[in-house]
Amino acid sequence: MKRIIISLSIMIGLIWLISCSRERIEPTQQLNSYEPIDDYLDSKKQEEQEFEITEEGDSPIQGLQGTKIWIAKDLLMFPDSSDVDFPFTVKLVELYTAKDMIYYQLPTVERPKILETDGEIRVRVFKEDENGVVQELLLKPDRVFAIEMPTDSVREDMKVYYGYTLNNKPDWTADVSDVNGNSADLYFTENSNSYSAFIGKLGWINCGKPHLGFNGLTFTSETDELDNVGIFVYQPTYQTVSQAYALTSDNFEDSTFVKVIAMGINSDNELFYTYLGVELNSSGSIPITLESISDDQLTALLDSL
Amino acid sequence: MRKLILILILCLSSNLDLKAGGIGVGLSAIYNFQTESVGAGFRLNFKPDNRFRVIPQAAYYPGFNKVNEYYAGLALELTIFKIKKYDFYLLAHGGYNAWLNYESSGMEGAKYSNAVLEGGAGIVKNSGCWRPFLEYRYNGKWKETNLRLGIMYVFGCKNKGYGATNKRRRSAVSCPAYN
Repeated sequence: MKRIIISLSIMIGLIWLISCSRERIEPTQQLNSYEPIDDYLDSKKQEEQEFEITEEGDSPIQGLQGTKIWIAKDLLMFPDSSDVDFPFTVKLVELYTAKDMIYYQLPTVERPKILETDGEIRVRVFKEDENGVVQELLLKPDRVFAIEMPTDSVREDMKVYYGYTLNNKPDWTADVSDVNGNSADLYFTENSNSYSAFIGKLGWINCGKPHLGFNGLTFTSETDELDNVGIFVYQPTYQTVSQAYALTSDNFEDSTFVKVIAMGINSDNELFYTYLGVELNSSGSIPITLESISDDQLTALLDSL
Repeated sequence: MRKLILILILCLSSNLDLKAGGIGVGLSAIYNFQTESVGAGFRLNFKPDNRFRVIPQAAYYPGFNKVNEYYAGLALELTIFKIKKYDFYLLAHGGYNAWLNYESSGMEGAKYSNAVLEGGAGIVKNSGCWRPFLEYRYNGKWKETNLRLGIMYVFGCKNKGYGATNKRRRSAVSCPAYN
């Protein structure tokens, strides 16, 4: 009798401790909410460089980070196909670091593939028309311009990618059907410490190489609403930057080591972050808990990527 | 749903011989430890003296509780051993649960209608007309436990101290010698 009572008591106690739930009456946990991160990232973007071209010359335009551009007025036209005269303005953005790509929210992908990259640049040309309206110029049909992109270590078989927007998301393509494909290079020429190519379209250009993977990350949180949080995945080996959309990253190859950086900003302009390293052997879910961080600390963290 | 339960009880009741000692009617007070709710239960115990019993039952947790709900279902009880005047039994209960104030819960997937399964153990007095009982149950659907303390009246008891198990009955016997 004593044994029966003891056994029943233990059974009852175990059921209580192991299996019981108060979920039906527990209050819903309020998640930390954040404002859209776009304004903060925009505020940290690299300044666009401007070069006023007033006369013909042999010297290339050279950006602060070493990009060189050779572009002549005879290559250019107004959108109505009329010719262009001096002066005109060349605008250049150079994104050679993960930090700069993140600030510009410009992932290196050719969906569904990721791009190994050695830099993204944007080249645009502007001129005031006869009515005093500043217009963005185009390349004339079948005309190309030359660029040279610097690198610390030359990678092989890097292709010329052009940037575009698909479903409100930035993407890249090596398809030249929309560019002056007859003369444009498909691949960059490898120099000792740079790449060079003839480019068939003004706009965003990526020096990249595609890789197809099947392991992606999804992001969850029990403490934070992630809708407005900027989540990026950086793969150091390929210098790839992936941005999570709908809390899901792009797919990476097996046995890939990636760094995840999530950034949030609240209504008081206070910054929050999560930073962690993940070895990707299969698709997985990553729980995120954001912690407070200063602007300087976050900048330093992105610099260290 | 309430009408269905009432009809079920009335039909079952009307078809039973209440004097035969074959049915018990029970009421219980219930406490749910996880939701911290108190409720009341009602049950019909067919053939309460059998080792295996089928017991339709219902329970209601009023609106002043954190969880306002009712249950209606069927329990199966099996006496596993007896000690003097008490039966120790195991039970399994399956039924319908209507969670009336589910919208005020933060639980994901909360809804009005649910199917539930409970398991548990109990002790009941096995003789006399008035039979108190005590049960401890685990609700597998909500992962909650509850304790039920109740009293059952067994119809068909003839005298105090005698239960339906009293087999000493007087029968009309005619003495052929006097016919």
